[in-house]
Amino acid sequence: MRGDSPSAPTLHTMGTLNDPFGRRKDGSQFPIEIVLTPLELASGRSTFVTIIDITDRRRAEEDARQSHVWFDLAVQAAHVGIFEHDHRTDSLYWSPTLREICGVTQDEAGSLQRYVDLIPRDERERILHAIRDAHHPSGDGQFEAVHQLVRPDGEVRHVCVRSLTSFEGEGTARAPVRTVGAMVDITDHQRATEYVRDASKMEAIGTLAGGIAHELNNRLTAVLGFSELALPLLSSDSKVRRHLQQVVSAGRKSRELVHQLLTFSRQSGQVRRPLSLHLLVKESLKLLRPTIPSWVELRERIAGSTCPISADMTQMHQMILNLVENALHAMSRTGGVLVIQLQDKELAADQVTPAGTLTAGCYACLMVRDSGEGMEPEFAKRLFDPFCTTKSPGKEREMGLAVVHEIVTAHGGTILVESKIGIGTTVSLYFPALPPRASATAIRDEPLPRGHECVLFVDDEESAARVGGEMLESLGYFPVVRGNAAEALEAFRIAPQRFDLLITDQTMPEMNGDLLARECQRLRPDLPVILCTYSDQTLSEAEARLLGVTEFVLKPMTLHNLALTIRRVLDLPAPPPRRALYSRAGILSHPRC
Amino acid sequence: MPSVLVIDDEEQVRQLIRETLEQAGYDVEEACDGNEGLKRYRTRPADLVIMDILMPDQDGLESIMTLDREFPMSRVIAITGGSDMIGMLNFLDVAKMLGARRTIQKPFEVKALLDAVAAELSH
Repeated sequence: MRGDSPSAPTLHTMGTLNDPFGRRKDGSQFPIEIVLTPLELASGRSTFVTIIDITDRRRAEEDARQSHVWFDLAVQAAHVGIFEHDHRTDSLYWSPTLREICGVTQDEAGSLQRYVDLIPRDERERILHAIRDAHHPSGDGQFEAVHQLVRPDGEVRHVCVRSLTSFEGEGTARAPVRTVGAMVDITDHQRATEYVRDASKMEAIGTLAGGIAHELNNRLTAVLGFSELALPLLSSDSKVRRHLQQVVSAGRKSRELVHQLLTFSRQSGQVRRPLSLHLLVKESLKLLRPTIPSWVELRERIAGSTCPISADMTQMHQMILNLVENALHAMSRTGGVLVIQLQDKELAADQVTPAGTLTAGCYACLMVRDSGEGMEPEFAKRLFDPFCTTKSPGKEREMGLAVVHEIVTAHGGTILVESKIGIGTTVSLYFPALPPRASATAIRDEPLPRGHECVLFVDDEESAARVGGEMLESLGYFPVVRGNAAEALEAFRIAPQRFDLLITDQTMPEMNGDLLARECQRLRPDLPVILCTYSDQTLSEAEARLLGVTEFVLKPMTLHNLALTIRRVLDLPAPPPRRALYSRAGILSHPRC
Repeated sequence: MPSVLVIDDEEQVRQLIRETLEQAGYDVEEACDGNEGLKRYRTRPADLVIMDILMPDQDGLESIMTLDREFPMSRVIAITGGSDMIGMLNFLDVAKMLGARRTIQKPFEVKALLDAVAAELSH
């Protein structure tokens, strides 16, 4: 500043001004740092002023600050837990996210031992070994492990942990200085992977079941057939005859079981059709009964009939299987009673429930109640969360109830849970009934259409056949009622031109209604057909039309529906010839042809 | 006496059907797959064919189609122990669409087989 240069200057920095700015000739400002340093010169005291352009420094500081902010945000968004271990001071930092993943509060000190204590015993040795390797002076300092973590509240999570350790020194003096790492909760991913693996296995089992069923059915053919051939060769009081009768009886039961297993394992492609749950629930329970342990008592309260709902049969079976499996798990330690109840419920007014509002109307209500351990209300709320569990590590996946929830909501249903600790849990499923095809008002006010045509009516249920015949008579028709397809076909063959209409039940032993229709239409291609479907419909409407079915009537039939449907069918113009309704090319394109 | 050609890859099933039908007075021939069955039929057409569906090489569905094409008056009863599906139709349904007159699911009862054969051969 002055001309005299110091001979032995003593320099002290006096201080700095905060955030000063310099101004350039063009008026633009830039950040500066002003350093005032007193000088003791021979000529007296002076002040050495240093002005430093710190633009670059400020920019670097701002960049670093921004990076820090972005990093924090990214780590939070990714839910990544960060930890840092200073080996020299043996201090350990656990980020809030890491504490959250591990279930460790902010008050608790984070330590390597604390982390190790959270690892299940059967995995601890493996993890400790990997940590020792990562900290070894001769190693590369990298650590990576996937393992379970048992939080202090008992919840089991899967985590992936990675870290890098820095070292100082060389050779034998090389020692770890600092370890920085991250932990990610991969529980959801792990469970989804297990679920996909299980689903693939189930699909493979389904395919295998089909092949095994084919082989079983061939063997059963021989068992049943040769036993039946042998029986007449024996005298009626022969012991051998009695033994062979037992063989035949067991063979028939085995045949039925194979059929049921196949029905359950068959992929449905999520096709929804009208069905009545009571028959399906009974069928499911027949299959499940052998799997219920002796310390659980099964009580079935299944109504004789329930309102039809629109549902996918395979998904309904899956849902029942999962519910029963879960109930059995709840009673695995104590045993108890498993109640399966199915009945119609009519709600006169909308009902508000924890799962949403149940609108007024008719529902098929399936209830599964266990007398197991029960659960806390907070846990009951999360029961259908895909990754909610009360099962200990190593037990089967817990996605079964999540699947139940998905199936029920996809079917427009509602699922309610009530549970009390020590008492048990009740899961109630409400499925809305299919709307009736005609309103009650219409039935009362409009006169029913009548006719005088001759109708062949076929139903293997005696009461249904009787009621159907009486309905037709009341409408003025001339019914010919038969109780099975063979007799109906025989009657038809005698005089095919006699009949104006065939009304047949779909599901009948030996020959289903659609095949009866086919046989009749071989003789009378223009024969109109009404197919009555109840619950076990095996054809979609499109496929049934392909086979020549003109219309459907949903069972249980109402007089009104029947009257309208008959007139609709009979008043149609004559249908095209039978063979034009399906294409052989469509069959030939199938890989089996 | 009426003749029946039994086409099934399972020897026990063929033997069972042979014994059952021969006891009832039918003349029975056997073939172990669709190719052999068609060969026999072309040489000596039987009054009735009992055709298994799931067979190696040429299966029953293909054989039924071929028979129906070459011999429109042929009568076939399709049988199967499987439950395979084409869409939502099972193989027995498809067999009927392709020309089989009746279908029987294995395992069947001897009486059911005899009734079906008698019913077909009475027309």
